[in-house]
Amino acid sequence: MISARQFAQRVADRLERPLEKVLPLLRERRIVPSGAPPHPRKLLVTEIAFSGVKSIDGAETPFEFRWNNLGPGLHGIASDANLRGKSTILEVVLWCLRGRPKGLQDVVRAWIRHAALGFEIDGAAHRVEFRLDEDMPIGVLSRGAPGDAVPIEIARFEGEDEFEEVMDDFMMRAFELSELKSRQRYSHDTLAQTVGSGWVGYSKALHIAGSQPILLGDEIFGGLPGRLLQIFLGVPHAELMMTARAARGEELQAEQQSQRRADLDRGTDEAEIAELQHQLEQAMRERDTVSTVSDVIGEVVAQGEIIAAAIARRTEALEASNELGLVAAEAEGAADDEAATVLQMGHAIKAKRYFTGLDPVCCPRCQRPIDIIRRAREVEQGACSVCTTPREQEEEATAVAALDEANQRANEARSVAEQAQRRHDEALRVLRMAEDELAAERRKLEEIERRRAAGDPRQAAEMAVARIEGRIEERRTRSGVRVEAHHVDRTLLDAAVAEAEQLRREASEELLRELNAEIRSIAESLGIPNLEEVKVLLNATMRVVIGGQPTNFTRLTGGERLRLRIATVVAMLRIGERRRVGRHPGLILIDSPGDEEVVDENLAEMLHELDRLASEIKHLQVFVASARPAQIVGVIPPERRRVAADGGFLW
Amino acid sequence: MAVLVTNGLAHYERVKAEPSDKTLKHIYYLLQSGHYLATRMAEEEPDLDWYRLRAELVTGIGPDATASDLKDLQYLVPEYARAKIGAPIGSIADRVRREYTRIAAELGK
Repeated sequence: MISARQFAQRVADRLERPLEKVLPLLRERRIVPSGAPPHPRKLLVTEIAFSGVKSIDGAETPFEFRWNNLGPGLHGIASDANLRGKSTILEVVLWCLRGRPKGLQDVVRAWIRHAALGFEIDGAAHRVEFRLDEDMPIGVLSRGAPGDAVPIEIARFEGEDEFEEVMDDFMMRAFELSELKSRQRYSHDTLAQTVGSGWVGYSKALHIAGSQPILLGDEIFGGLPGRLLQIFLGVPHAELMMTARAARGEELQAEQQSQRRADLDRGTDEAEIAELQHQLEQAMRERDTVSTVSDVIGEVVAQGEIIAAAIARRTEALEASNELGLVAAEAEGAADDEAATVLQMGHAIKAKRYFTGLDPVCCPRCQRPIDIIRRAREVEQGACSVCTTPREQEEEATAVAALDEANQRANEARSVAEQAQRRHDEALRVLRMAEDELAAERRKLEEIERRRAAGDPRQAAEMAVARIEGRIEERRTRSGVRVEAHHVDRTLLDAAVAEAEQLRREASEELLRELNAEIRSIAESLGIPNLEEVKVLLNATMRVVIGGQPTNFTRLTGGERLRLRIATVVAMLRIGERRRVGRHPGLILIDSPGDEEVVDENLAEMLHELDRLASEIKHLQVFVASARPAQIVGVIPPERRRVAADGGFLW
Repeated sequence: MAVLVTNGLAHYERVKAEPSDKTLKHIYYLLQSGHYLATRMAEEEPDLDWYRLRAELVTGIGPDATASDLKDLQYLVPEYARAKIGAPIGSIADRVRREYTRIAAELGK
């Protein structure tokens, strides 16, 4: 035997990894040897009983079948016509053992109202009994107490599912069987699942009905025949191997799924990478045009100089404008003064025309009338009648000439003022331009300042490029990483499977040689002459050489297959008996062997041989149901047979 | 005034305080001949009608206001109060219009 630690060490050595990294992973998945091989246990049917009401052609007939005190050895059930209840007896046995019928006809099932099966496991008496209430089995599984004491109830059940659960639980424990794990795929496009098959799966190997091209049981799914062979034969490490394989299958599938997802992702990734490449080229172009920090400082300095020049131009324009403004204002004032002078002179000349013709009447100060003498003196001597001053005859023509002169001066002054105003306007226009230019240059500087404040533009552009490159790299590598992550685990499982396989192969080589020899010899005695070689593989496939011709089990005749199937079970039991290994319960139910091109003579011969084998192997119990009562009667003694002769019914 | 008085176009009186002999005010009278001459001048020389229009505007400010009252009002206008002799006095028309709008709006309320 090998311990869990030793097994893990072997796996670790294969992988060249430390034990402490391997053992927990194997334990987690329960890929560890199961310890000492279980002690073989034997099942013996001691009582078969069922009853009910037959309904044939409207007539209802109660029936009861009871077969007590059964022991090891060959038992025969026979009727000379078909449909007389042979198969039903075997089916009821299976129903009771499994909690679910296997091939029981519906019409027969409908007749049955009650069924019971007494059986022993390594001599311990048990009994399962149920009644059918509207087709629903309601009953109890119990263990017989020694003497006449009341049986001990193990479990009650109500309904087919519960019945099956109860029997599965009980039988799996009783025979120390573990679930038959296998990977099954039910159709091409669904995912495989790890399927656990319990007692129902094992029990199929007890029943040999017909000549299916399957060595053990009646299902080829998930390598079930091979698993049954290994468990029943007691091949060391068979369960270890199965667990490891199932775990690897699960892992492989998970990996395939993730690979499929990765493939899908990769498709997406490739589209994204193309887009990112495009972005990258753009980012690189931007980076190459972007200036560095020192470039920006240079720009700031240069812009400062431009602004300084603009300020100088603005100042100059402002000064010129101010000066010209003053000049224009002065010229304007002068022009206004001249204009006012012209106006005053004009008004004075006009007013004078009215006042000069008037004669003074009084003193403007005291308002006393001017006397006549003064009036006469003014006329005669030209002395003013008011102040007596001699009057100068001022000619209006002189005043008008002075007005013309003043008018000319005023026009000149106006023209000068207008010219000054135009120059001032021009200076203002230049000033506005200088101010606009200065504002524009200041805005440019602010823009440069903002870029400087935002950090190194070159560095930001480099970062953008690096970021895009990183994203591309991530997409390029991630599918690979995904697969690799699984790969690590599967390597471990591969190693565990390989190690388990090696252990199993080493341990099973001798066992298989022995099995092959047994099968060959038993099959020959059961009626296959010229069987020169039998080679059973662990997957329950069989190659044979008959009459010098190598062939395959599936290519043999129905009769040959039937004999080899029986031979295989008997051989397993014989080896199990000899080696104290193996877990076949030792019960075989053979239905209608005569159907398989077995001539009467050969059938009798086969039954004889079976009888001999059954008596030789202490714990073997065989039930044969046949439509050839003569052969049964000829070979099997009355206490071990039930025969309905002359077209009668067995029950 | 001397030209008007001496040519018999206007007449003025001095109102004196008793017993200090201090002149309280002058009262001016435009005589018939003065009114006649002024009307003729304005008709014959439209330039000179400007003076009549000024006088009309001034009487619009306060029909019963004395010259001193009008002068005091005039000195409340900064442009006039700060004006130097011989310098042109800027227009206050815009300010007057704004003030007028404000007061009109206030009265409208």
